[in-house]
Amino acid sequence: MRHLTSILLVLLLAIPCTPIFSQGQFLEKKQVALWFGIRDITRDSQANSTNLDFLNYLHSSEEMSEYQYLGVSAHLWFRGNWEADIKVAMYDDFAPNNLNIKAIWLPMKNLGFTAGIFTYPQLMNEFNMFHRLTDEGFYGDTDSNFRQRRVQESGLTAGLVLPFSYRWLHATAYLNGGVGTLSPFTEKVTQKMINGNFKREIRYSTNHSPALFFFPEFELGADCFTIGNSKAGIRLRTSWYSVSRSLSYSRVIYEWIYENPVLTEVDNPSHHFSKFEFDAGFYMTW
Amino acid sequence: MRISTDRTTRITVLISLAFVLKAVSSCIQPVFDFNFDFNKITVTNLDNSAVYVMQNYRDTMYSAAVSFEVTLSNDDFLAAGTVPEAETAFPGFTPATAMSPEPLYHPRHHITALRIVTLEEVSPAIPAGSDVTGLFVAYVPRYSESAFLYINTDELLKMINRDFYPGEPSVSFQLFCKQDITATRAQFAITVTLSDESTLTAQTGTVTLVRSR
Repeated sequence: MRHLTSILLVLLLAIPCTPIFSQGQFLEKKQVALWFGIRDITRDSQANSTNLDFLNYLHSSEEMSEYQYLGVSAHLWFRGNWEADIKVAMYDDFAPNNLNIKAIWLPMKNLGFTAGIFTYPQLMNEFNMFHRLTDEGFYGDTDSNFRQRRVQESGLTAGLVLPFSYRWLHATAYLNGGVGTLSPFTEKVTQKMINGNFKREIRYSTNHSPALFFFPEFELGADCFTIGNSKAGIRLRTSWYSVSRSLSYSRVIYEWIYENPVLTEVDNPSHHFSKFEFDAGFYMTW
Repeated sequence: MRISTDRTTRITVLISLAFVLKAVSSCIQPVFDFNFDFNKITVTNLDNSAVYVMQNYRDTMYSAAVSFEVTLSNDDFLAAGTVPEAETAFPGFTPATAMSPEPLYHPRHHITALRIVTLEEVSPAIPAGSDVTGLFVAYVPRYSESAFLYINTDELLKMINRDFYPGEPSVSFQLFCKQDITATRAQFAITVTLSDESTLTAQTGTVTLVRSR
């Protein structure tokens, strides 16, 4: 995924400069933008049951934003009322693994259709706390490190697009919906009885978790300068992503030795999860 | 023209020649492979009450954490002091080698069986004198570091039987009792049988058992 997004990032920067896309042949207009944004996560946390529920441990805090990102984007206006919008963003690790790519068709001036894909990573922290809290008489997790992993949320989107322009002001609303999933992952928790020899190893292997989501976006751009045939301006964008999903998994428990595993399929209840983003930056259109 | 050399020069040349011969012959092909027999067995107490197992210098254990470390070795080798020797040692200089690889100790006889007998009553169903090998699982610290769980005693034999033992002529393994022993004392006799039908036996000390609250 990281290599793929790196390639896409390079392509993103190269596309507007490619001669084949020179204006008048395929492209009517093109825009590149640089922006910085924040992402706030809200998710519910349900009471512990007999099974570990990983969705209780998606990173969410009381602070305004759990994540900050730096992004670049390209918007291309093709002939025939077709447009493409490609956004790539990265966290402080500078891995360009936040993608939002859309194809847009505008049969009418202020109404169109859009379809695309998106993916972004998020953190899952200290899921071993479930075992530390619930498994009395045990060292709930013998791994004393801070347990953290990344999960990638990806989805296919489709919806309506509502563009509006008045002189130097440009606004676009996207009403996206679709189906998304969290990338499956495996985890292991090792336990030992306090004052006893008994040990067990619990291995989790999560399944795909497809769920329907609603993902509206709103973009606002204002042309500030005109330099020759180019226009430079500032842009604002906000989005909200809402999904309700459950994360099921297979659990294998070994006791004492690596023989006679006990396999259990676990279905967990649904959680509501939402993501709010706001970013601002600069663009150049020519 | 006659060239004459005095006696001092001749003696000096002879001594130098002898020195060079000694120095050359002292550079030997090292022998770092040794054959040995297991002839000693020692048992020490372990403390497995916490996350990681530790040496236990007391004779008290938790009743659910009875554990021992067994070491099989050869008492004749002082591994750290083993000096590689030349097959045809030339007297005068300590043999020297260009490299110091880790010595490898090849056992003449492999371990074929492990038997644990309790010398105290484990429970009303397991009286003193019973074979309790099946109540124990094992861990080999040097060879199974990546695994978290134990191995059974059958696997133990496969794991500790090696073509050679690097560094020293010994192998250690840990034994953990799976049963929460209801008695207040425990003592075991551990017997290892080798492929030449010889046996090595050691008894654990008498351990006072305390129950976890």
